[in-house]
Amino acid sequence: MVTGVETNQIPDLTNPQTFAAGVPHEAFARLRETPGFHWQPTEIATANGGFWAVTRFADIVEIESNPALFASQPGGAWPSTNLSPDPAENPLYNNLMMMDPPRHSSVRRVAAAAFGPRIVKNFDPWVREIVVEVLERIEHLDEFDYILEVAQIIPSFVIARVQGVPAEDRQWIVDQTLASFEAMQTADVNAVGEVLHKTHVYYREKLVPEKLRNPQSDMTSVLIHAAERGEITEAEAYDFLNLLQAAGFETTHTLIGQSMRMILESPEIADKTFRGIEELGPDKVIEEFLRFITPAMFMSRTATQDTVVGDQQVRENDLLNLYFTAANRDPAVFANPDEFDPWRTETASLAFGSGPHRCIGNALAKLELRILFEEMAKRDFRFRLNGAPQRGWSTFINQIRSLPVARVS
Amino acid sequence: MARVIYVQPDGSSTTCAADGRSLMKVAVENLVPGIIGECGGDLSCATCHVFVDEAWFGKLKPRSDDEESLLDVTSEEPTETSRLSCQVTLTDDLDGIVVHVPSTQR
Repeated sequence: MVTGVETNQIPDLTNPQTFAAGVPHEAFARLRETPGFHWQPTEIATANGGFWAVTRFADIVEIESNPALFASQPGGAWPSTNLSPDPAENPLYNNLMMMDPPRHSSVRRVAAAAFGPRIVKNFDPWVREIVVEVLERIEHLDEFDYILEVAQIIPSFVIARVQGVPAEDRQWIVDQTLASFEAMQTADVNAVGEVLHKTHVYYREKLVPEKLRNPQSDMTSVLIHAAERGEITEAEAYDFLNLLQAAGFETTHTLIGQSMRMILESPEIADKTFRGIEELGPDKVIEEFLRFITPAMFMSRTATQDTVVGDQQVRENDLLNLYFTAANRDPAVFANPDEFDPWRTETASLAFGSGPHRCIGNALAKLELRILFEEMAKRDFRFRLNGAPQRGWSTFINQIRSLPVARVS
Repeated sequence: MARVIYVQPDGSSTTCAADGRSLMKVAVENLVPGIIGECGGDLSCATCHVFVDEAWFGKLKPRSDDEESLLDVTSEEPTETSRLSCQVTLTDDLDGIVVHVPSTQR
């Protein structure tokens, strides 16, 4: 194990305070330069009393490409980790993020068939409708909170539409999602189980019967038909609906909110954003926002046996937290990594992870931000900061809770 | 070693030599544009679609049902000779195989 003055000064990665003022990029830079991995002690949700902080791009790609050696079943993101392999004791047993091949492959394939590139391209018209509805609402506001009025609403309405949840239930399902997301941050499996149970009752008693009467091209219809054909179980279908909501909402709202904060706080980033969209089109600019922001800061894997990776000896059942937020500024991969540069030519970042668990909704997330940029540009909406932005309280998501803005055009 | 030729929509091409790996892996390792291989070869993302040159298509093993269903959602409409390149292993009898990369898979 590596010890030394430098690693002793690394802040506590289990304490949200460490992330309160921003992602500790300076500490992550020191970890990337230190051979091996940094051991972060914690009794919470670990088998061996802590986790390894993995910060280099190449090490994360290697770990994520080998699910036999680095498993997801014990938990995809600390502190939802050290979970039992017994479904009776593990409410997250049917969550796609907590599965390994071959079970993961079968569920993901069903989801991919409803979320593949050509399908998502067809989402453009109705995502645009939602964005326009949101922008028409803020058109009449001089001062407002961009997080509440824009960043939260767009992804929650988009995901509800993907699920096929009727408009009158939209807010309820968003509230349940937030509750389960909060519960997952506390390592309290019973609290997680309670929220999930409530949503299962809703799916079983209301949404599924409705979709069976009136099948549509939404995810719920696709999943229940796959369950009828025996390709996946009913529980896997329901928990995929929950995962969709949690993953699609929290990270996309972070991307939308943080990108606007960066534009408002830095004239240089604002200039590069507008020039980049003109010269390169929006996609490269969005990729750079994703790299820079990295909404989900890490994911976790558990070693299935003693092994050596990244020059580090790890033991069976050791937890590894893969810090995408650090890897996305790895100078071995990205030139001038701390600079916002949409013109960069390097490989895609790890904002969505890599390997079999790479974010299945990545095309949809990018589509939402692209349409938002396009529709704001059409209306020539410009804002200025109208108070101090407030970050969230999380070791997991690069959250922003409040972004007060005022319209300038 | 067997060779594979990836042809881009603008007619430019990349030739790579490898053994026993999938056409997707070979493309990704050689940074061939337009073959993404998002899921790493787990047959669950539909981002490694290629159009196999007709002369070569008949030499390949048939598609599985799972591959068929993912071809329904690739960025570009599939044709008779469409394959997911993660499902084609580069063996010696395929030396010189030509595949075309779709223009919208970026």
